Amino acid sequence: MAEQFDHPAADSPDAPRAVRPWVVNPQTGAVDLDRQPLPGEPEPDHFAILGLPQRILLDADAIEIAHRSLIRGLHPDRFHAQGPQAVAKAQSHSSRVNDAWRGLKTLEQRAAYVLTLAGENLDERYRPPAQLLMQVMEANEAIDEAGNDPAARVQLLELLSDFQAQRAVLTAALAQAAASWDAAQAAVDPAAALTARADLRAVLGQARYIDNLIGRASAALSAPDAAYPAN
Amino acid sequence: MAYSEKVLDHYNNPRNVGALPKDDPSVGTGVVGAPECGDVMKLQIKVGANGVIEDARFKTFGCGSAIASSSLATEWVKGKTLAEAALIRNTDIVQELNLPPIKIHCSVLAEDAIRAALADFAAKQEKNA
Repeated sequence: MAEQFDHPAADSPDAPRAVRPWVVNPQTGAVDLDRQPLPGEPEPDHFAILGLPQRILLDADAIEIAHRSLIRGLHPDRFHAQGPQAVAKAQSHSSRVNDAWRGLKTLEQRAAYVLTLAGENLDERYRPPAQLLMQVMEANEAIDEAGNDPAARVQLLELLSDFQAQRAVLTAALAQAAASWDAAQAAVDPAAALTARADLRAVLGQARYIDNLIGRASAALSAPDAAYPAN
Repeated sequence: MAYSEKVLDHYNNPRNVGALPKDDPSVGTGVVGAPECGDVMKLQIKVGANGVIEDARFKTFGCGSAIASSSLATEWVKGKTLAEAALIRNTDIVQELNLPPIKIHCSVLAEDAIRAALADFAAKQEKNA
């Protein structure tokens, strides 16, 4: 039974040691619907639930395979013989597996999640550079005022490509910070992890503003009146 | 999610939208942002010779609650002294607008914006002293 949960990343020599999904009891190696944290074992996070190493740079296929094999292993049909209670427990484990999978799908989600696990709140801990805020403010005003004026729309297009270039820089910076964080985790280096976390926070914080600008600029270019929907 | 009536009122009829001359020594400008949602807010105050805030303007790019919070903040700072304005708390804004927990950060943003504007004004005063 436990064999089917073995993590594909275990085959790769570079991959950190694969862990078993949380629902698999580490002592028996079998699915244990009543699994409770062992003495000294923390409550499972998304990574532990899927049996993935706690890393930001994870192979997308590995995440999909881990999810699929768990969902298959926890399928209610497998537990009918054990009665309705077992079926209900299997379903509840499935739903945790799905939450974990949805929460770790993208690199940015995983980066934000490791910050959450470290007890950080993006909003409280990160103050973006004043220069970025000014730039975002002015860009927003430009988007607001562009309307249907052809010259303004040309400027808006330029702004948009500028934001996209900035976003590409941030995406690269995020991958770099993620690699640093992963390396710090692998080396169990708390000081390096702290530095990497600060980088992750800064990049994710700035990316949110740029993403909003890209969304608004694109909306303004396609339909000037729809850039600021009344939400 | 339903907005409270007061939020809708400020959203539909925002008070004091616009800009004051940024380089005017009697104007303090605060620009703040919320990384969680990427909202940005600019709040400006014009301070009279007697240290009373004569006028205030805001521009916010964000959700209805962020707009309402900053609109309310401009209403509240007008006529107050700098010291009085510094006492405005985000919790007052939450209470007045009946903001749900998920929108509390909007009120925090408005409080931050007031402080940033006050700080900018103070820095200008010091530079010109």
